[in-house]
Amino acid sequence: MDLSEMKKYRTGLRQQPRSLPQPPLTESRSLGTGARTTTPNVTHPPPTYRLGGTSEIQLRTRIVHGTTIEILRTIFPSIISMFIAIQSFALLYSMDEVVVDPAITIKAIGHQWYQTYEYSDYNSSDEKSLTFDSYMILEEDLELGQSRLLEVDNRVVVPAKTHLRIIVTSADVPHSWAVPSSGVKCDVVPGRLNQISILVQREGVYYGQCSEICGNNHAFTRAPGNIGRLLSHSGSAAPPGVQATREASYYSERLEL
Amino acid sequence: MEDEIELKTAPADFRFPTTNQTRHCFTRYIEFHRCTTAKGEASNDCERFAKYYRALCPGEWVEKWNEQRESGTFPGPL
Repeated sequence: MDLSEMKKYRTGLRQQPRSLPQPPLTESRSLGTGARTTTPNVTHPPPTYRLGGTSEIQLRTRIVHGTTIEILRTIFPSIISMFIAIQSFALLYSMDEVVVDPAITIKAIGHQWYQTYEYSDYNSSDEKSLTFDSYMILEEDLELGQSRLLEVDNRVVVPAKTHLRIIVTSADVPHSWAVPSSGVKCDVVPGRLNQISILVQREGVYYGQCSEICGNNHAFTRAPGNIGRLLSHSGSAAPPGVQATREASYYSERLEL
Repeated sequence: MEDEIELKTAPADFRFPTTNQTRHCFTRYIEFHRCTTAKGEASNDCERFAKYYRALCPGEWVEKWNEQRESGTFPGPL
């Protein structure tokens, strides 16, 4: 068996240009060294690799383009995404809309690093307003039973089972007013009034923390400790709603074990 | 006898349906002052606009705007 016959048993890919005839393997070109050289095939179509033959394994592949299916498989998912997005945006924007007129408006003004609350629905002039500051109680000042880093000196008292409007803004840097147990978080931006609608279902104390980095004591700025109180007028000694709010705003409850 | 507790505040305004209520507060303030300019300071018709803007606007903003009005630098169509 000579060299040319042995080379027929060679395995692997064998490149065959379509239009050019296969040059004999033993042909040497201008190098004169016996080495096989190939012509750069820049003007010819890409070579094909054939699988077949009795003694040689050759691989055939063809590079194809399916333009129609590529267009379809791009547009069809886009249409599906569009249908999902339209519904999603409609829900997202409708969630922010206030459907029911609120019964009471409470303003929360964020400062570094405390909150100021204003109840001014019943002001008779620009000056008078029920306003108070709400600072977090430091650890050393806590009474037995109080929660660390959650309690505040003056809690925000709100009526339960009532539609509330909370208007939040800031006096200095961005904060975020969050009460997770009421499902509320709203970023607070200086120069802007953001509105949150809440309905407190149950009486109780709801804690919140500042949720936007606002400086050194960001971790110690409390959003509320809200108290949901039913404005009840069924008791004989129950004061009218405004007065209940007025006195309760300075209420700080002593926890008894 | 039970007292009827009636809670009233600025109603939701369809002109400002979104979360940002800055223009709502500003618009109510301007409406009040335009009303008093048109009908006079003593008119009771404008009182509801006053309640609305006092409910919505922080006290600091109202004070600042009042000072600007007095100095003639208020940036709004009064």
